Amino acid sequence: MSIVQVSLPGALRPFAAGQALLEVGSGTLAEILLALGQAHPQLLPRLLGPDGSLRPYVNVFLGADNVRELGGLTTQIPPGSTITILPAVAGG
Amino acid sequence: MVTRLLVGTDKGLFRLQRPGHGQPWHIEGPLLPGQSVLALARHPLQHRAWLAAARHPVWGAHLYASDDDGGKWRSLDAVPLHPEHRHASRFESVWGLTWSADGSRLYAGIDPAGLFVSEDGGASWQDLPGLNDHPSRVQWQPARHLFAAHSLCIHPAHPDWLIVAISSGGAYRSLDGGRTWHPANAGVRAGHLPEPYPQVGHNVHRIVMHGTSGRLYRQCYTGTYRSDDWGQSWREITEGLPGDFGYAVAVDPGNPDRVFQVPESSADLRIVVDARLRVFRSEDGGSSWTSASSGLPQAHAYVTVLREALDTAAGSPCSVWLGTATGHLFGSDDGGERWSQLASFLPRILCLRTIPA
Repeated sequence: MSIVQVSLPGALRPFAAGQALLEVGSGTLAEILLALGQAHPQLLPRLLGPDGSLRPYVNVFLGADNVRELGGLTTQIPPGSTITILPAVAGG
Repeated sequence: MVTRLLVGTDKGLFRLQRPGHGQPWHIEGPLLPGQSVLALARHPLQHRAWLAAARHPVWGAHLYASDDDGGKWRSLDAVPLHPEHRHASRFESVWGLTWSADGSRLYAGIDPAGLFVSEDGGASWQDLPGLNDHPSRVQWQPARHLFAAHSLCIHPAHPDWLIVAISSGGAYRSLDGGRTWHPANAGVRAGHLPEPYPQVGHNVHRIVMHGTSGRLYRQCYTGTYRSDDWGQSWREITEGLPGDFGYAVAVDPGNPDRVFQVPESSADLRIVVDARLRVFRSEDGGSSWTSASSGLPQAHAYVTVLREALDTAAGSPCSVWLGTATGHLFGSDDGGERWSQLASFLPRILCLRTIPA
């Protein structure tokens, strides 16, 4: 199975037709996010900044691991896995 | 009579409505919850259509559109971006939105300082390199919390005449639709620079235009100014105000000589002078000023009124509206003679606009 599941936080679901869980083909995290962006154009600019890097307060987890501790956007996401997008604890 | 307001705050947008004069205001919101709403612009022809510039600490800055006077909002796909690798950052947020009178062009001033134009209502954006890559850009520098272009005005009789403020970098004007730009700071002090009257580098807090005459008023880091020649020269009109610092200035849409300003204390403190929330009004284009503050707190008011948080609406007399960075909202239906408090505990108010009937 070459599918990866992507779990979205509530704040991003309006930009993905209300869906909490999306399915895309496996690949690197960058490829997966770009695929999400093709299906939901307003999702991608909320995840990546204008320079194409992951926004500083956006965390993406592969299982329990933050991808920043793995390979960042180059992290290979295995088929059948789930990645979880969550906002970092920030603000006031 | 103004019956509806849009109020942009640090935690979202609020829409206020009253059924009639003297009636309590109903507060709706927060719309765009959790977002800092930095600027609002109403379409000049499609009168229920608005744009909002918003920024979220996690999800970034985006533009939103409403077709129902701010009740429902949808995100636009695009934002104006500097070309890759041109500046330290391509885009932080939009700080100003201005429509041309015929609705054919939409301008956005952004942080890092740059001006962009859209001819499709914000679906796509074009760089204005005559300003964004101006040779004097090396003399621009970030002001506190921002480095942005804002306060774009378009002359009512000459649609190719533009003027924009850079914080900090000074004002620049164009007479050819934005192709070429020239400093427009003659007669303006710059208290934060060693040269008293430099050509560029001023920290401009706000420029507003009287909508039919094209007269300009300008509030700077040091001083309040007026220009009757589209920014070619400025006359300081600070005398009569209790200080030369401030952010907010607004002009009566029906009278270019009637102008309102909220004096702030020193640049170090940045609250209203003497902790009294006062609006100063001039009836003679800034030659003289009087306080028009009845009903506003006159003791222990440690507040500030930010650049986009003072607005006027046409009327006889005009109405005046202000919001503070402490979330207090005030209005006057009689040109500043008497003020009443509309709301007390909103988040930090960043901008406000009246919704025309």
